[in-house]
Amino acid sequence: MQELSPNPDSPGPGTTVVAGIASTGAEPLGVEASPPKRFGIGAWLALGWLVAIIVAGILVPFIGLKNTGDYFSFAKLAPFKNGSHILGVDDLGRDQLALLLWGARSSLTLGFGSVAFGMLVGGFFGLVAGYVGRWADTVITGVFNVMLAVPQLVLALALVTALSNDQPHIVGTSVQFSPVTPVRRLVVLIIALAVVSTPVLGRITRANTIAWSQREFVLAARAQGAGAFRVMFREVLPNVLPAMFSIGLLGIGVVIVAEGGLAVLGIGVHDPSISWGVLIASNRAAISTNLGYLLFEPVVFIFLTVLSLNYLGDVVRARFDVRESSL
Amino acid sequence: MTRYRAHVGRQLPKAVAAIVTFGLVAAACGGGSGTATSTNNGPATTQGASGQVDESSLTPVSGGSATMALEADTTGGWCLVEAQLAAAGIQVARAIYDTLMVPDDKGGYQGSLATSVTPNADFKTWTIKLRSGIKFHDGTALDATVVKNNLDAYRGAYTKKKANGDNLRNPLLFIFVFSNIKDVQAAGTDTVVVNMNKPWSTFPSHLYQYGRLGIMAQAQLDSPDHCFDKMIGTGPFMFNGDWTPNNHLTVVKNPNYWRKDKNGKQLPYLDKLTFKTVLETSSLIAGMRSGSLDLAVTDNTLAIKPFQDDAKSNKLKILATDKDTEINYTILNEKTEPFNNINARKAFAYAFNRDQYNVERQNGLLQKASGPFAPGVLGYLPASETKLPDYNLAMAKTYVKKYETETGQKLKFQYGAPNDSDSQKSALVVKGFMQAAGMDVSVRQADQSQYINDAISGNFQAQGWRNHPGFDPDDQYVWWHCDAPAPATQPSTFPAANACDNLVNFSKFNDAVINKNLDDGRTTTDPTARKTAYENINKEFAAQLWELWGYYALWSVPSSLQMHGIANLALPTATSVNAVGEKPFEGLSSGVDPAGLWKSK
Amino acid sequence: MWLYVLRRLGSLVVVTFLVSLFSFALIKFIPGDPVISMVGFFDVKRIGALRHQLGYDRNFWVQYFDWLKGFLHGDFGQIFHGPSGGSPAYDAIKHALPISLELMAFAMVITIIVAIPLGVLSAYRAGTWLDKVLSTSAFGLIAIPDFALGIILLQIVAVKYRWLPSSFTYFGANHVEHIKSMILPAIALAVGQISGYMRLLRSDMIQTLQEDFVAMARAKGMTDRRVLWRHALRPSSLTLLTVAGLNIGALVGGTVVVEVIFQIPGMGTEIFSAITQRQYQEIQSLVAVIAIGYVAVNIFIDLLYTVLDPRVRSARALA
Repeated sequence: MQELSPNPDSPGPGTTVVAGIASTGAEPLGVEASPPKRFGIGAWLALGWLVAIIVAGILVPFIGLKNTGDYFSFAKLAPFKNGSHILGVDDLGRDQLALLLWGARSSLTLGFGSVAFGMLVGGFFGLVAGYVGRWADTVITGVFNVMLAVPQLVLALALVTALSNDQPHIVGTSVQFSPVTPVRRLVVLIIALAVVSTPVLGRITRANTIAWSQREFVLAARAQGAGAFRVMFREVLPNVLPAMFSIGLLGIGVVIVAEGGLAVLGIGVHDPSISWGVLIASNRAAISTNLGYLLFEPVVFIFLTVLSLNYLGDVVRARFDVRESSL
Repeated sequence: MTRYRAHVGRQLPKAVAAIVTFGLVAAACGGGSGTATSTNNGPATTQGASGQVDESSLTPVSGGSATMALEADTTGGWCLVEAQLAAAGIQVARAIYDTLMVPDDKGGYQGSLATSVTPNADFKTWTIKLRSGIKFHDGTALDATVVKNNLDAYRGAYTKKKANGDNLRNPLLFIFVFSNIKDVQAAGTDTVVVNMNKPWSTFPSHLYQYGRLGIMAQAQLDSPDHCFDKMIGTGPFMFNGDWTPNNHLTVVKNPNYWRKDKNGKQLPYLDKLTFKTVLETSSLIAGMRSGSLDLAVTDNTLAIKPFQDDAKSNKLKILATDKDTEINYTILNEKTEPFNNINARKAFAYAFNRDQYNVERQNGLLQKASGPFAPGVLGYLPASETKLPDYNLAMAKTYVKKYETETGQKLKFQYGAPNDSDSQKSALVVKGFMQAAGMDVSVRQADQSQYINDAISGNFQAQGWRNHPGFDPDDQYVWWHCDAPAPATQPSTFPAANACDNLVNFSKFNDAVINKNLDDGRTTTDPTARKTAYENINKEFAAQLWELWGYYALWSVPSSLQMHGIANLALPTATSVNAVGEKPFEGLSSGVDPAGLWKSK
Repeated sequence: MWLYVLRRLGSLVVVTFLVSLFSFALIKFIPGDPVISMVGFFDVKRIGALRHQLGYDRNFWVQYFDWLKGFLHGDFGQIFHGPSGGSPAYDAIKHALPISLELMAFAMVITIIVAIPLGVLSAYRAGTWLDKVLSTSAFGLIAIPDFALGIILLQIVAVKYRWLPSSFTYFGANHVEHIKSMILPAIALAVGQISGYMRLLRSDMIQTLQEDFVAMARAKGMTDRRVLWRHALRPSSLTLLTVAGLNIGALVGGTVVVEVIFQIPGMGTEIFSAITQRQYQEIQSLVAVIAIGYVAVNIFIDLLYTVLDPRVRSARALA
C-alpha cells in the first residue's frame, strides 16, 4: 500500500521525499520530471474524472439508481450486453454501475472526510507547533512521531475493531451490549482513517509554517502588534495551504485504498452502505469464473481515482513549488 | 460459509458458542460459479460420486502420509472437557482420542473404549465396563479412575484445584449436558458406575457427543497450563507438538493402537496425518486439484459442486451425504421484538424463498429441511407431515400486515451475518426476500467474536446458524429444554417473563410441548414411544416456528484417487443395550474415522 | 558526530518509551471491558476475580510499568484459550515474525531488482520516450491497490492456472515449495514500492550525471555502462537507503492484508486474528513490537546515513 509516511526523523538534506514518491526540486537537464508544472491535458483528465465521480456520488440517490438488486432475477449480465446495464449485473441481480456509484459515495465520503479531519487537526497543531515553537513544538512533534511509528493500517484496524463493535457492559448479573449506530460506525471509520493522515499533514504544516514565519510580511505583522492567532491564521495559513492540499490530495487516495484493505479484512462499511473496497472484497472469487468484471470494475475505479488524485497532487506541488525537503 | 466457520474455529478458545458447529443458512457459499438450473426436492440421499469404485475388494496397505484440509482451526486447543469443538476440531480429536461409545449406522451406539454400557431397570444407574489393556500415548493405562476423572471434569465436578485455588478444569457446555448426573464411581479397575438424578435412557449417546467426548490421559487432564496443547489420548494417532494455529497440525501413527482391522492388520494404516486449515474456497479447490491436499472434510457447496464435476471425469473421488446431518437455519430471538410475535415468525418463514436461495447461493445442492431432524435421525418427518411453512409471498405479506395491525409497528429487524463476503452476499439475498414481503430489514455484520457474543447475550434478532447434528435426538435436550415454567398455551406474543432459563437456548423460547417430549424421550428406550416424542417436537417447532429451519447441511469428503478407507472401517466389536447396527455411522458431520484411511502406492 | 549518534540513540529510547505507552494505552482506553470478553460464557461472577488476577484493577501507571517490565523481559502477555489457560504471546510472535520479515525481504529484493535498472535506464535516457514510458508506468503502479493486486494474482496465477501454490508451505517442510509460495505475496507487496525507488533514483542519478567526477570519468574514456554502475550509482545508494526506511511503514501495513489474503502465518495474520479474537494482551505486544522495530530501523538508517555521507555528518554536527 502506498503510504503517507515520511520518516519520523527527517531524511537527510538533499533528499526530497513525500509520501513515498520522490521528486527533485532542481531539474538540471531541463528535463521535464513526472510532475508537470503546467496544468496540461493530464491534469484536465484527472480533474474531469474526479469531478464526474464526485458529482455522480452525490447525485446517485436522486437519479433512480438503487444499490439493492432485483434479487429474484439474478441476471448475471456481462458488461455492454444491455443498454440499461452498461457495466453489467452482479450475481445478486444488482446493476454494477449503480453499485460503483454508490461505492463512490462511501469511498469518497471516507476519503474526503478523513483527510478534512486530518487537515483540521493536523493543520491546527502543525501551525501551533511551527509558529509557537519551543515546548509546544517538542510536544506536538513528539506526538506526531509516536503516531507515525505505528503502521497505519494496523492502527486503523485496531481502532475500528475496538470502537465500531457493540460494547459489552455488565448489567446486574448479565452482560448487555450497547449497539453501535451506522452513523457512529461511519464516524469511527473516518476518524480511524484520519488518524492515518493527521501526523503527516501536521508535519508538513509545521515545516512550512516555520519557513513562512520568518518572512518579512509576517514579521511586520507581528511588529505591528497583531495577535498570535491573527498572524497564524491570516498571514501564515494561506501560504501553507497549497502544501497541505498537495499532500491532502495524495492522502485521499491513500484513505480510499486503506478502506479497501479494511474491507478485505471484513471491517469496511456495512449494509446498506457499499464501498469500492467492499465490492472488491465481495467479488474476490469472481475472477476465476466468468464474472471477472465484477472484480475488475471496482479495481479500475480505485485505480483511476487514486491516479487522478496523485497526479493533481503533483501538479499542485509543482505549481506552488512546495518544498518537500522541508518535511 | 467456509470463511465464516474458519473464523469460528479461531474463536473457539472463547466460549460457548463454539459448541455449536455454527454456520448458517445465510453463510452460503456464493460467488456464482454457474447457475444450477433445478432443485432436487427428492428425499435426502447419499451422493456417491460416479466413478467411485467399490473398495471392499481392495486390500489396505500401511504407511505413507496424508494431508487433510479442514475448514477451520481450533485455536482454543483440545482440552476436551473445556474445548467445545466445532466440526473441524472434532475431526482432529478423532485422530488423537477415543470415546467410550461410537455411533453405528442404525442410530444406536457401540462400545469403543467401553465394552459395555448397561443401565439398571429405571435407567438411573449405568455401569460402564472398560476394554482391558488399553494404554494412553504416554504409556499409562486406561482404567476406571481416569475415566471417572474425565467424566467428573466434563460435568464440572472434578475437585482438583490450581495452585491459586481456582478449579483446575472449567467446563462450560458439558456442565449443562451432564447436569443429570448425580455421581460417578470407580468400581475396581475396569468398571465405572454413573448414578443419575432422573432416569436417562439415552446416556450412551452422550458418551460420544458428536465425537467430542474423548477420554484424556490423567497427565493432560491435570495439566494446569497445557491441557489445551499437550494432547494425550488413546487414539490411532499421537500428537508430538507440531501445531501452528491457523495453519496446520500434524499427528503420527500410534504403533500401539488397540484396534486392528478385520484381517488382523494393525491400525491405523497411515504413518502421518496432517490437518491443514484452508479457509478460502478457491484455495481448497486449487489444493485438491493440484494434489497438495489428499482429502478434505467440507460442507461448502461452492467447493462440492466442482469436486463432483471432477469426480465425474474421474480426477478425484467424493463422498457426500446429508444423512444424519446438521441443519442450516435462522436462529430467532424470541425474547425481544419482532420475533416474539408469531406473525413475524410466520412472515419470515413464508417470505424466505428457499428454492431460489438454494439455486443462487448453494449451487442447488441442498435439500430443504422439514424440521430440526435430518433424514435418518429419530423424529424425522417429511415436510408433508411437519407442515413447515414454505415460500409463499402472498401469505408473507398477509402476516406482515397482521403483525403491523396487532402491534401497531412496522415489521423491522436486523439480520445478522458473519463479516465474510460470501455470508454478506447471502444475507443480502435474505434481505431482498424480506423486503419483497414488506419488511424493513438491514444486514448486521459482525466479526467472529461479536457474532458469538451476540448469540450468548441475546444481542440479536435473527441470524444465520448451523447446529443440531443428527445423532440421538436427545443430544438436543441441552439446546432446547427449559426448567422455568412455560406458558400453558402459547399466546401470539411470547411473554418475556417465560423466557427460557437455559443459558444455551439462545432463542429463549420456552415451550411446554417441547419440554415434556424432551423429558419423555430420555426416560424410555422404547423406540415407538421415543419416535412419537421427537415427532411431536418436530411438529411443535413447525407450528411455533421458534427457529426457521433452512436446509440439511451437505457434508462431503473429496479425496484423491489414491486415498481409500473413507468412512468404511468396521466398528470395534462390543455391545451395549443401544446397539442395533454394526456398520459405522453414515453421517459425515463429525468427519471420518482417521484410523481407516490408507493411501495406495 | 558521536554526539549526534548519542542524541539519535537517546531519541530512540524516548520514542520507544512513548510508543510503548501509546500501544498500552490504546487497548486500555477502548470502550467496553476487555475482561468481559475473556471469561467464557459471560460468567459475570468470574469477571471480578479475573480482573483482579490480571491486575486490571490497579492504577494505570502501575499496570503500565508492570507491563513494560514484563515486555522488556520477553513476557508479551498471554493468548487466552478460554478456561483452558493461556499460551505466551511471545511464542506466537517468535513464530510469526521471521515469516513476515522474510516476506518483506523478498518484496524488497524484487523491488530493488526491478527498480534499480529501470531507474538508472530512465535517468540515462532522460527525456526520451523510453524515460517517459517508464516514468508514467511507475506513476501508474502506485495507484494499484496492493490488496486488489494480491487477490488478482492469487485467483489467476494460483487458483485458475495453478502456476504457483495457493497456500503457504513452511521452509522446513519443503524448501522449493516454500519459496514458490512466497512469490505472489512478495510481488503484490513490491509493485507499490517499485515506483518510489525508481522515481527517486531517476532524479538522483540525473543530478549525479551532471557532476564533475562523472564528466571526468567519461573524459578518461570509460564506457557509459561502467560510469553508470561504478561511479554514478554509488552515491545514490544513500538515497535508496532513505526510501527503504520510508517504505517500511507501508510495507508493514501492506503485509497485514497480503498475509491474510494468502493465508501466510506471519505477523499480519497474527495481528488480524488477535484483533478479531479480542486478544488484548497480544495486541498490545504486537503493536509495541512492530512500532519499536519500525522506529529502530528508521533511526538505524538515519545513523547509517550519517556515517556514510560526510556532507550530512558535517551538516548535522553544526546543527
